[in-house]
Amino acid sequence: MIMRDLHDDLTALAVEWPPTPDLAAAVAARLEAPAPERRAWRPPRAAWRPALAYGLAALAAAFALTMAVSPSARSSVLEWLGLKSVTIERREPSAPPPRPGALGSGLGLGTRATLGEARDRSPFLRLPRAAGLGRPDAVYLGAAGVSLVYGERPGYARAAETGAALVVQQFRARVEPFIEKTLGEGTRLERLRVDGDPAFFITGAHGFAYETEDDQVRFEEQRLAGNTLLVERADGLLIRVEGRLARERAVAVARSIG
Amino acid sequence: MVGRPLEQDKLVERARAGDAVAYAALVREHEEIAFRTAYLITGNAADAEDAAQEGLVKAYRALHRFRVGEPLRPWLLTIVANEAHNRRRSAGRRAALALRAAGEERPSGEAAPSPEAALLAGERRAALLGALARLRDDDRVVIGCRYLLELSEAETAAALGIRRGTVKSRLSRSLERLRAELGDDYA
Repeated sequence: MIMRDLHDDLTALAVEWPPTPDLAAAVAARLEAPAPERRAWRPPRAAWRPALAYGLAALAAAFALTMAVSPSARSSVLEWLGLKSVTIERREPSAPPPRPGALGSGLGLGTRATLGEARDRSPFLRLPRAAGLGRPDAVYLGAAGVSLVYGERPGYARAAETGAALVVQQFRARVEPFIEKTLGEGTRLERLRVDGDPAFFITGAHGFAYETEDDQVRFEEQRLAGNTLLVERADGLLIRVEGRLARERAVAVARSIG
Repeated sequence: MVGRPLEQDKLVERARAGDAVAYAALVREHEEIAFRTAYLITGNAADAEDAAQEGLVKAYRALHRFRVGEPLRPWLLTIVANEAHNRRRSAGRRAALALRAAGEERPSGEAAPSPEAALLAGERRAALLGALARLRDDDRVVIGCRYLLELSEAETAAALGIRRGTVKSRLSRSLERLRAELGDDYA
């Protein structure tokens, strides 16, 4: 007799729900209040301290040098510079090991979690709704925020080394103004706009530095062999879409996050 | 940590000022989870639709009580779930919630199972759903909220009308009863 893990089996259980009725239309029809004209609206961009930005740009230039050397050199150079607030994101050996073979378990994204647990941490978590994507195959909680991992799907080719086709991360951080300076050699950066927000499509990347809400600068390594789209949203959310994706598909994934 | 609260807050502000279109945009975002939560509680789609619609209209009228900056989802779920509980109580005893397993297990990203393994997995899912259906309503709703709807603890507490601090212990007791219902495999 095989002892089964109830938590795992319940997590994997998918249920056929009845189709959701069009409640938005029904509710709107019941509300008597007249609807004023809809205006396009964008949230105000948070003020950014120029002095800090300048310092970060200088710091980032130092980063670019260290990155060209080797990962182990990064931390020692930072130490030498006395940059105590800078930490390099490492794989987290202290995190409990995820189920063997679980998708994304080797990517160092943190602890495996259910979507419910991810919502405990991030009450505003939104899933991408891009066509054909469906729900994530695995969810991880780490220092970098919530990571959603997707296996192979039509249009999303898996990376041979990891088996994952797409990683979508959401965390509170920003990469401007030093994004270009943190990119290593052989990296190509393309600037674009996604729904008005600044975005960066990076090919041949090794990782990038970013600043968190509490003014920590961190470095995030490349997880999959592929391209990275970073969208710096006006609400302070940094979205990272990584995989072997064409630019348009990566943009579609980022845009589908509400 | 994650999200777009600014946009939500702006929509809430406009809805409070009487903008039904802004409110519809908020509802659109949450209608699926609202309906499914109501379905989990009432056990049938017609009651779930009524409860969700009624709850969402009441939430509109109560928007002035919503604290801007907080996530809207658990707040809406509290009101919808309350409507659903009222309907379930007034309907008296009825057939247990019928949940069917979707065609496939959620993909795990692991290698495709053999036909034998797939058959076994299918039997296991049926046994699990059968045991869930035999549980008391309260047990089924808390397990359903956490695992089938994947609600957070705060949202589960909202759906159950209990304090957040009691979700863990309630869930753990309900899982024990489910385990007992399933027998030796999960002992």
